[in-house]
Amino acid sequence: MNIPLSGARPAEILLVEDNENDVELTYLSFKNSKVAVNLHHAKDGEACMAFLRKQGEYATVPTPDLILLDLNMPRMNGREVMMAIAADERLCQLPVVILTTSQGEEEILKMYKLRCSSYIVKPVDFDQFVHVVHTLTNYWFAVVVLPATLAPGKVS
Amino acid sequence: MIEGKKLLFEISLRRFSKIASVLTVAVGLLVLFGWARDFTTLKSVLPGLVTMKANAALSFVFCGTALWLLSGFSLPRTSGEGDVKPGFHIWIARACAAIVGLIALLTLSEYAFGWELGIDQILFQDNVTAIASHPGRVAPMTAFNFIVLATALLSMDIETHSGHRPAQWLVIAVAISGFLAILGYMYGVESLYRVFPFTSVALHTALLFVLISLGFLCARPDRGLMILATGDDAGGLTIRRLLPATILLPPTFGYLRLVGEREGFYTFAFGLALFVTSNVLVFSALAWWNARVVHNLDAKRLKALHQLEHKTGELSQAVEALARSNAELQQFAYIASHDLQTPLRSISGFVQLLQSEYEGKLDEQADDWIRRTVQSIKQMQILIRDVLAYSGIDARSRPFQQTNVGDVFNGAVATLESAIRDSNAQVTCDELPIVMGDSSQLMQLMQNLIENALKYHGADPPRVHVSAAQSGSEWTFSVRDNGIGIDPKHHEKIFQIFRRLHDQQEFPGTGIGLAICHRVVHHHGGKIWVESQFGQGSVFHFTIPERTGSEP
Repeated sequence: MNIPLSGARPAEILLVEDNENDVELTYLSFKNSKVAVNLHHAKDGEACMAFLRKQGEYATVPTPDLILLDLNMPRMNGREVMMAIAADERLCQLPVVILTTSQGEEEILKMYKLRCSSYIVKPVDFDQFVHVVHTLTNYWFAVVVLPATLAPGKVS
Repeated sequence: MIEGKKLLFEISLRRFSKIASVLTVAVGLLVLFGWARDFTTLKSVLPGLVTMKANAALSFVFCGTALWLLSGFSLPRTSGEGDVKPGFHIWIARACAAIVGLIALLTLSEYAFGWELGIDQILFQDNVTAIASHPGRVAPMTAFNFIVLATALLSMDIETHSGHRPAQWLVIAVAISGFLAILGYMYGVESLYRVFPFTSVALHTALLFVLISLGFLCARPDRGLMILATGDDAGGLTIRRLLPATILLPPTFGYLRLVGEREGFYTFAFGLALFVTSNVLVFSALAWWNARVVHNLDAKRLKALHQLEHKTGELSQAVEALARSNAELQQFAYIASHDLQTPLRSISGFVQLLQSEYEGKLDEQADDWIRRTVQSIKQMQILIRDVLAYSGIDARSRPFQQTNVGDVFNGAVATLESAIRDSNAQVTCDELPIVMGDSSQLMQLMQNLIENALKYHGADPPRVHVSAAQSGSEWTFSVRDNGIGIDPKHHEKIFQIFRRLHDQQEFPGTGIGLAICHRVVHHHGGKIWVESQFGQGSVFHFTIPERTGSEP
């Protein structure tokens, strides 16, 4: 039976972001979240794919419940990550929320065509950013029903 | 020919016209004098030749007078100067022409019906033409020419829709008739100047017909047939070079040939060959000369055309380069301001954290500095947001679509809801039309204008009203407020980017809002302007042209 994540275990979130400051601020904004969150960080697309495939240093990490993906990154950018996830049968069910500064209409359309779960433009103001983060965690971990394989205790 | 030269040429033609009319009058008067004093030379030029009749001389005096009066008043094609004002002189000219026509008509009637009206010798007794049946009577050919000439003088400025002047054709007929008579005298062919059994056209009568006809044509050098003759193009050049020779040379050659033959220098056939040869030679030379001039003219024209094409090419390249650099600059402004947001977000985040976590834990000075930093960052964020909006208008426009301005108004009011509530404002609109445009840009425009109206309010709560009126092919929208108003000397300036009339303490702002409005309206092909007096509210007007397709 599928249920929303309860307090059974913290929510695993993978933040894919190259900007150290943004990473720090995101950590800080998750601090006061009502949902217990384990925030992991990958510094670019390559690290993200290695994390998801549990390769190398990521051999022991859990599969994330949610991916927060930036678009503009060195080496492998968010678009390429989206395509790699969509092409990988073991990963394609993972919900991906785009969290970026880009707000071109074409970009947004393209990401939804790649079946991203949400597209969020990072608010410029920090208080608003905190608000967005709280809304996000609340929605994904208190409202939404996630795939059964990801439910508590069933993570392989 | 350049314009000045063309004008000079036309002036000299008009002058010739004047001279021709004076000469005609003078000769007419001399002949009349000859009749009065019985000078044969004046009456018939050479002894034994037929006389110019007193009535013909009188008619020439009238015709010359009429032409002189008419020649100074033409209808220039460009300015209103020199328009024919049917003044007194015009009526005198018409009266003169009418008298000429009447005398000639009566004379012809005498011939036709065998009448004797007593007009032939009304001035002087004719003893010279006693041999003829009707002493003193003008030759029928001459009378007929006078009728044609009088008609031409009366209808000189009548022009058809296609620009033809029938009067010019009439005087050409008169000139040909005179020319034939002159040829008749030169070559001794009586039938060319005499209709048997009546009296003949006198030699000076024929000459005067040719003269006054030419004078008539030259009186309107910029009209009808004469447009081509005086034109400053290859056509005008050709006709001015070829026509005089064509008219004058063959008769001269013919005369020389005839004289030579009569003197017995050569036979008829040899004379003919000589005539033909000289014509061929002279006209070939003329044609060649003319062709060379036209050729050179054409070469120059082609060269100028090539230069023009070259310049046009250069110009369009420059325009293209300019457009490209403009687009690049806009793109640069957009990307630069977009990328500035990332570090700014970090700065703002950490400073806000600093403020929320450490306020009251540091000293007052530190709290004040942090507060100022947070404030400045907020300003900078707004500034960057506005620069982004401004630089994105042309580059990031969507194709125009049918946009209901009423919806745009409602959207803008919804966005400004809290500002409207806070200022206790009343924001209303008339029924607004549907136009072709980029709805998000129109929203920006409407929102900025209403926001300004709310922001720059006076003592009373703001009242803002949006209306629209159709004029021709465009809609004019008006946003009226009861705010503080704008001094007319600033009406142009306020639409420039970063131009502000107040400091941040009075009214905070970036100085980009109206520049965005200006740019959006311009992008939609319209105009924006303001009507206002300081302290009396403002009305911002902008236009959006109507169109059917979607133009970005």
